[in-house]
Amino acid sequence: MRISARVVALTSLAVALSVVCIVAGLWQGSRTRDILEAERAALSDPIDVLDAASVDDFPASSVGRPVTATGAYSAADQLLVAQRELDGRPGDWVLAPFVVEGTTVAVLRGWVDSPSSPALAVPAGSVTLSGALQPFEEFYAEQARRPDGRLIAVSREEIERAWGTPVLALVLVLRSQEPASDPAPLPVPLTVQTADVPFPLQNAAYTLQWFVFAGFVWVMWWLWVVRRPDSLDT
Amino acid sequence: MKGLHGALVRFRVMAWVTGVLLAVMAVVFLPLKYVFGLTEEGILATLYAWGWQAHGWLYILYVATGLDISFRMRFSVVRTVAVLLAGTIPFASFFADHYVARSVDARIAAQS
Repeated sequence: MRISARVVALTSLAVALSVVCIVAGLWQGSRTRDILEAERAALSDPIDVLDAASVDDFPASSVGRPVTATGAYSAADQLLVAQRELDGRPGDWVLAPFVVEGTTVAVLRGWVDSPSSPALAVPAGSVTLSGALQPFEEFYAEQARRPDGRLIAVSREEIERAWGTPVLALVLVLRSQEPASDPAPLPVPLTVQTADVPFPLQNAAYTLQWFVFAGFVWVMWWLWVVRRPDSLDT
Repeated sequence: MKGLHGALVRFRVMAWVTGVLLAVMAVVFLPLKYVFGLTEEGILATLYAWGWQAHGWLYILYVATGLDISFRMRFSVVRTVAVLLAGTIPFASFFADHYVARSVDARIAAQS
């Protein structure tokens, strides 16, 4: 085959396209692995909350992970997140600062039907929590506070501003507490579902398909450049 | 010419199967998901997931048959890529099918 400008251009194009396909395939492959890992983490035994995440960072496998935390609710104000329904009933979510070995964790205690609910009271002294970790909400992150002081979203920025301290990079969604609050806010379902998810067939299939497309690029290169280089002259 | 006819039939079948499925997904299922939110669970969720799955694999066959007919027809690289990409745009594969079929007819008429 003659090395012409067209051959060089088409070969470069084929390299670029197949690299794009392979990168996309690897990305879908890592999505597949992340989902499987998250599923495994969600079904695993609880670990200590500070082993699962820090203020600065968290591994993807910590989203949905069951954790335990021993510490104390701090005296700082609890926050209400306005307009959160539970089974169709209007109400608020309750966020409380919980200090574990000097680190403040935002605990989503649950749902209350009114801002003056007796369930808002927290026990004093050492408390052990168990629950699962979830990401902060990203919407309305800039202006997540209403004039009445309630939050619009579980915004990390707004929570840190209200409490005057950095918080753990994930929210602890409470499932149980020892000693228990009575009455207690009702537990809310996890927003990011990581347990009982089906095998990510779609991501796995896309991984394979991207690799096949990378192969097609070279089939085409071979047909047009190697087998019939004259077709490039026209 | 016999090989060309077979390649055209294979491409036309794939263009129609892929095209009809993609049109149904785009016209029926995308609104069901993003406008009406009805594909979260139940039979619609299953159909939605399987529809895209099927389109992914059928599109691979579409590309294979499209490459075959384009090479036999001596289409340029640009034309070939246009035919192949038509399988990813709703309704475009019908135009690709029409264009390829007309080109093959013209070729056969010119040579007979």
